[in-house]
Amino acid sequence: MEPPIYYSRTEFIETDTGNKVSRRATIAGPQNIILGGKTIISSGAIIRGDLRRSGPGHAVVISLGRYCVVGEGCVMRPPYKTYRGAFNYYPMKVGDYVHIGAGSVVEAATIGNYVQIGKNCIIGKFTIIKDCARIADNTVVPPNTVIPALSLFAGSPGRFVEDLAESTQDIVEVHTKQYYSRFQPLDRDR
Amino acid sequence: MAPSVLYHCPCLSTSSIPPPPHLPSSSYSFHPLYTLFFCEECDAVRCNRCVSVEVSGYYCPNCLFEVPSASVRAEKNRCARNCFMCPNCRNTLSVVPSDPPDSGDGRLSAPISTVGEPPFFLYCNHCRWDSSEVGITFEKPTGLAAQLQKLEDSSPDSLEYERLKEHFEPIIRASSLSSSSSAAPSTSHSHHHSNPITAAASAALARDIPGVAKYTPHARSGRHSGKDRSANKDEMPEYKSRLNISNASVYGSGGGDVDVEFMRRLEDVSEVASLEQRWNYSWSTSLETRDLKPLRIPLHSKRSKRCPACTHILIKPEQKAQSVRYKIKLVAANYLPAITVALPHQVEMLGHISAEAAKRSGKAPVEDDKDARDNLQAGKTYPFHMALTNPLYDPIQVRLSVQRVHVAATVTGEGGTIEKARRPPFAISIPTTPFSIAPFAEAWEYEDDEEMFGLDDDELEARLSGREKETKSKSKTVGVLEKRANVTVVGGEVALGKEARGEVKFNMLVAYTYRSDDPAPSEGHDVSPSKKAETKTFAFYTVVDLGNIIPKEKSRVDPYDV
Amino acid sequence: MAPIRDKFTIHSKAVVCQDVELKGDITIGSGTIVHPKATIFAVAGPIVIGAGCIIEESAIIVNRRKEVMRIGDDNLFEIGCRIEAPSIGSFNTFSTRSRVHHTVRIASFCVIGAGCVLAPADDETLSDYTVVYGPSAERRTWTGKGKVQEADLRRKHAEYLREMLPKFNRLRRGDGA
Repeated sequence: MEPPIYYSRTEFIETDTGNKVSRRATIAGPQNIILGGKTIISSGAIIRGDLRRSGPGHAVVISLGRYCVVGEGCVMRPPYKTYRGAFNYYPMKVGDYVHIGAGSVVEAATIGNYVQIGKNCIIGKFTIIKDCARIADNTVVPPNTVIPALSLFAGSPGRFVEDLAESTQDIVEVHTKQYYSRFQPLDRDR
Repeated sequence: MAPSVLYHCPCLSTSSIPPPPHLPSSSYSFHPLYTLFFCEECDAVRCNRCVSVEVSGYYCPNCLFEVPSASVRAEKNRCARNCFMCPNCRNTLSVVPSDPPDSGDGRLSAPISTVGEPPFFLYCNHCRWDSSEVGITFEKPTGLAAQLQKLEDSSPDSLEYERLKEHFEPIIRASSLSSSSSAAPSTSHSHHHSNPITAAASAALARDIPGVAKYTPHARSGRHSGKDRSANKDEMPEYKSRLNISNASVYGSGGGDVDVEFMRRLEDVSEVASLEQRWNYSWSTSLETRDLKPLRIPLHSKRSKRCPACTHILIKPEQKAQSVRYKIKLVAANYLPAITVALPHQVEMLGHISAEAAKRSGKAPVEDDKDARDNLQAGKTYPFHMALTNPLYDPIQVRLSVQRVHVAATVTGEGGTIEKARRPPFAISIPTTPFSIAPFAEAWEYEDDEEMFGLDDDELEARLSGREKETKSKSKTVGVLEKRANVTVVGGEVALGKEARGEVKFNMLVAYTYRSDDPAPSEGHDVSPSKKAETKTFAFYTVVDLGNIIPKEKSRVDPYDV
Repeated sequence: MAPIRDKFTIHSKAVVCQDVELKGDITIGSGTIVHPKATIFAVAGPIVIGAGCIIEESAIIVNRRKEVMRIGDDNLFEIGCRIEAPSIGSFNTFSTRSRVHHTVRIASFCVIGAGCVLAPADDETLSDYTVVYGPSAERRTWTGKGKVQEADLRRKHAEYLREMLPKFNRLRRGDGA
């Protein structure tokens, strides 16, 4: 019964696997980015596939799973550090059914499945977010933080608030699938 | 706020009828469906307030190490590896090496070695607190907790605690021995509780949980029987503390003249550790920020949940700490129909806003005009839709009824006028005749995955017919509006009084009849005629919240009604 | 206000991406990196950026004052920060989505934490090693331990970007080039 979320057909490019990518998003180094299918990249988002690991050959910089949403104005950028004296960027992996709210900046190393990130969050470098975790709006997660499965984090610095319900996985799956089906071009129904 | 439906768990009262929804206290009895459990044994809804909880495993929330329950107590419920919390901002600390010798101009010339230069210290990358500020450094970057152990163990509080433990250990051992010989723990205390729920809960507490300090029923019942108590008191030798409390503050445990002196010389408020910074410590701590030590991170636990009445397990997580799967998961969402409610005029408006935004090809639908969208105007009549989703593999028959709230008027005679005014200023009409909801089938799941799961024509046809709308009922607002897959949408109507104020909230009884697998005798009432005696009826209460009423004078022009 | 005259002086060893908004009189020093989608606005006075700075995507640097806004060397401006400080020393970090108003001058080795807003009504100067953090922009002083390693990371980072960014992004040259 949720109303559809319309978008203009001219703004979005739909891929064979159902990914919908806004032309207003900045996708740097697209050859280094993988979208799992039915993933939405909203307008104003910046995805930095160009900040790749040094060395020869093809390198995946950012991979997103199925039914993900990267909200308006989000920045997705791989984390960097020096290891044994050598500087490098490291890939970012995002699972399935992950929603990232508008205006959030993500420099995580790994984000699991069914993760919900609120609006205007800052996810620091090398953060690891486990399955079914949730980050409240406006949370600042400092670098190297580990967020356990099924936990809610909020605040600055982001801290554990409470355990989430046992059925979080089911709810998030339904919600993310519903979101994808609600997200439709304007001229389809009228 | 969008309209919502919450489900009732009767655990807070003796009656199964929920409190009227306009009472603020009623909110404690209603929960979102996804937080509720269902006990098959008792055939009842359970919530997080009433289930009994037991720990099934411990892990560190930072390194995710699963701590064997045997070592949890020895490690004082905190991570015994390399995980520390910043005493200043409670962020997680990292271990970092020292800077190599400075070449003079502030620029690094010498290459950094693989592990880095000792000494190592703990560093917060949020507020840049580091442990060298409080004089803590490490020779090697591993096994930090063990390196800090000496410091922790030699603190006056810790020594005092050890002494207390030593003092009481023989007494506890003796008392638990005598209690286990005299009476079984479960019978010795259960008679204190008349309520079976609390009895079961305390029985769960009394169970010997690995890693958790053993509950000693004797010590507790001692409070109730004066005879026991005096006997115990006589046996107990007097405890002599290690330190005299009056000069304990000298040893950095806070309090006394030291604090007064510190406060007197205080120049900057940041020198005083805030309560938030101090209350994570197990012991009383110094008032001074410069005394704050890094804290080992407290462990988290995975928990099983049991029905409070029959103690059957409702939730049993998998052993692995980071697994989100469950060996047993009896959640209400798999038993009760899910109900969502919407006001069609709001839905339409939302769709409108999003369409407008797409046309302008601009940004997200702006969330302005919230008032007009979310609120209901006094004196108007609104239709609303309720979508019921059947989670069962069998069809169900559902009957809805609104709980009339006459309660307020009949409660007190003298406060009659006031109470009368508090009666709901709105009238709800919903379909009262039973209607059916088709069974849940895995196939519905793939509705929007068509291109991935190639369907053959037969299946497709079946689905199309299943999705067919009942067009004849389209015109009316109250009644069954739509049936598709395992969802039935029914329409209702709310008529608001002219002087109506507050929230439109009402309790609704949902009774559904389903085919039962076990041949238990049916509950007698409400047996659907088409079925044999093998049907069962389950009823539960919900509270439906349609939103706030805005008084007439304040209301804006409603685009839907004009 | 008079129309802003654009004058970009970009050092030949600086890397400024094409997709960057520049306005006014701007000087960018040697080895400084400006990521795509960054914005540098010299609204009133000119902006002079030193060597080895990194200005990340959607960062905004604005000079509202008449005087020259001087930014030292090896500063890091992270994603989406908005900095209007009239003078900035060296080795500072402006974390993701931090904001500094034109009333604050920054010395060196300061850290403005993620999402912090620094907007005092009266002019002030942050002394060396000041750390601003948390939801209410609390302040403390860093011991400076680890600064050599951090400077090393900053330098290697800039070095890496100087090599990698031109492979994926078109660059912008100064007026002189």
